[in-house]
Amino acid sequence: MRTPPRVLASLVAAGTAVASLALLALVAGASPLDALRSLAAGSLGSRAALGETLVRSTGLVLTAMAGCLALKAGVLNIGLEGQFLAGAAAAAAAGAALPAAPLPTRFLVLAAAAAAGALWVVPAALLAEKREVPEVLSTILLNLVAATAVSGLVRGALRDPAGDYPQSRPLPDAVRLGPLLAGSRATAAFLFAFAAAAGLAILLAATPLGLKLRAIGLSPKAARAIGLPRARLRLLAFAASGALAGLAGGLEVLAVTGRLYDPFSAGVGYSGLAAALLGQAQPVPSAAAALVLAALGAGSSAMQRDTGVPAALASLVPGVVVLTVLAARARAARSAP
Amino acid sequence: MIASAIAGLAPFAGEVRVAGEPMPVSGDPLAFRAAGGAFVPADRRDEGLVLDLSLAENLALPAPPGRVLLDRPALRRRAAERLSAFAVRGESADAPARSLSGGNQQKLVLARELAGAPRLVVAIHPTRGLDLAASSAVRARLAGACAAGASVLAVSADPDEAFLFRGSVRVVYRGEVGPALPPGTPLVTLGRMMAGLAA
Repeated sequence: MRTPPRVLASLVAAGTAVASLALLALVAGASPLDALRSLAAGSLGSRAALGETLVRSTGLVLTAMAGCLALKAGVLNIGLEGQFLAGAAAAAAAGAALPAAPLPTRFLVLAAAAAAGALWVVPAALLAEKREVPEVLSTILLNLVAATAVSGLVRGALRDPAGDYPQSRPLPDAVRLGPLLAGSRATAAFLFAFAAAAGLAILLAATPLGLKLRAIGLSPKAARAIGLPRARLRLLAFAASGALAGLAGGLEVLAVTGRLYDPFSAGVGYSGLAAALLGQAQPVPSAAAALVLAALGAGSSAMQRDTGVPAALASLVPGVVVLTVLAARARAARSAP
Repeated sequence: MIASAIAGLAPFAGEVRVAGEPMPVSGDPLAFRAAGGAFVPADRRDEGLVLDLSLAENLALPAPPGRVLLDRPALRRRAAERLSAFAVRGESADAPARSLSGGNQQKLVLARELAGAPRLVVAIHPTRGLDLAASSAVRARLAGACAAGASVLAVSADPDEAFLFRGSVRVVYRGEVGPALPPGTPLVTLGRMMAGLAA
């Protein structure tokens, strides 16, 4: 009884995505068919296009995994965006300050990013535990704090004195990750994302800790009565979620941008959370949803180039899809006995 | 209220003695369990079980077997053993607890709680909403735990049931614990005491 609704949800999602893209193309005065064709070619049609999709998938898959982990333990972490930014800022600061020794510096940069992401969760976790402030509120506010902090850092403490723009000093080329294949921007960073997805799937399905986390997420009251350390497990999942989002930010700096600037993120954390919601907090379906969003992002740039349909319009599509799927799911839940 | 406070789910101040020995209870479910407590909550669907986990997974909580990876064979073995010992009738050990009937859900709770030879079993309305057969099975299990050396604190709102537990019966009215009633106390007397009328 579990599979059919999920298949249906994917069909609803795909249908909505195609229909809304076609509609957007019409609104922008282009042929819907041409727009969809150039979107497909721009995301999957060539090595460069595929590389572009993979580049975008790193942050999306990792933040989606971060969202899954928290959701599974019953925490709605809307703060992925802020934790991503905290990770990116820590990575940029550490990367520019450390010596240009590739391996240890890469490791330290990513460790700093994950730690910063986890730390960015702490105020929200403490407020939830001590004062019963909903994480939904505190994390979304921490996103604003993070965005403001990034803006301040690139104009202040981290500013590159050599440049005219408000941006941080670049990481040494030796430290940055190089392309994996010639002719594509993709680096090894996306492997982290897929490893995280596999690791999370195993953690949740096949470890004692995963079973405990699922128990507190499914029924906090029962978990407490049964004698699980609910507060500790929640904090653990929440902090690990922040660490994954921070790692995503660190990889973005290490593999793609090489530095911090403002605005740094175009909502990766929100898209990642959308992917986690689409995948019903299951790691593999959520990673698949994140990949689709990455392809959509890569393809819509190509679509703008080829057909003049603004890429900004295509960025509406994930929002439309999430709303449609959640509405369909709520309807299905209501009609179920 | 008193019973769930002992189990650590409500603020608790005082002392718990089990068979004359003090039992450290600090208003925390973990401490209660560490001290050898078992708890059958009033609401098996909301507090007793995680309905969307399987029977085997419910039985494995709060300490699932395995160090790094879940020890599935041990999980299965433990489940098969407990399910048959407590006569839980369900599709399979991998079916969600939600799929069980009320009586079998309650037996599943007992199968988990009575497994570790507890010192003290706190059972709140353990037979509420169950049919006759399931109710007497649940009472028999609690009596069995008693025979195995556990102390059982059972709470019931049903005067007919009170003496079926075969223990010392006291009426709690508005937080006041009354005297132990002798067996054979007429139901009317018990009922009047539960309604707060002097016997």
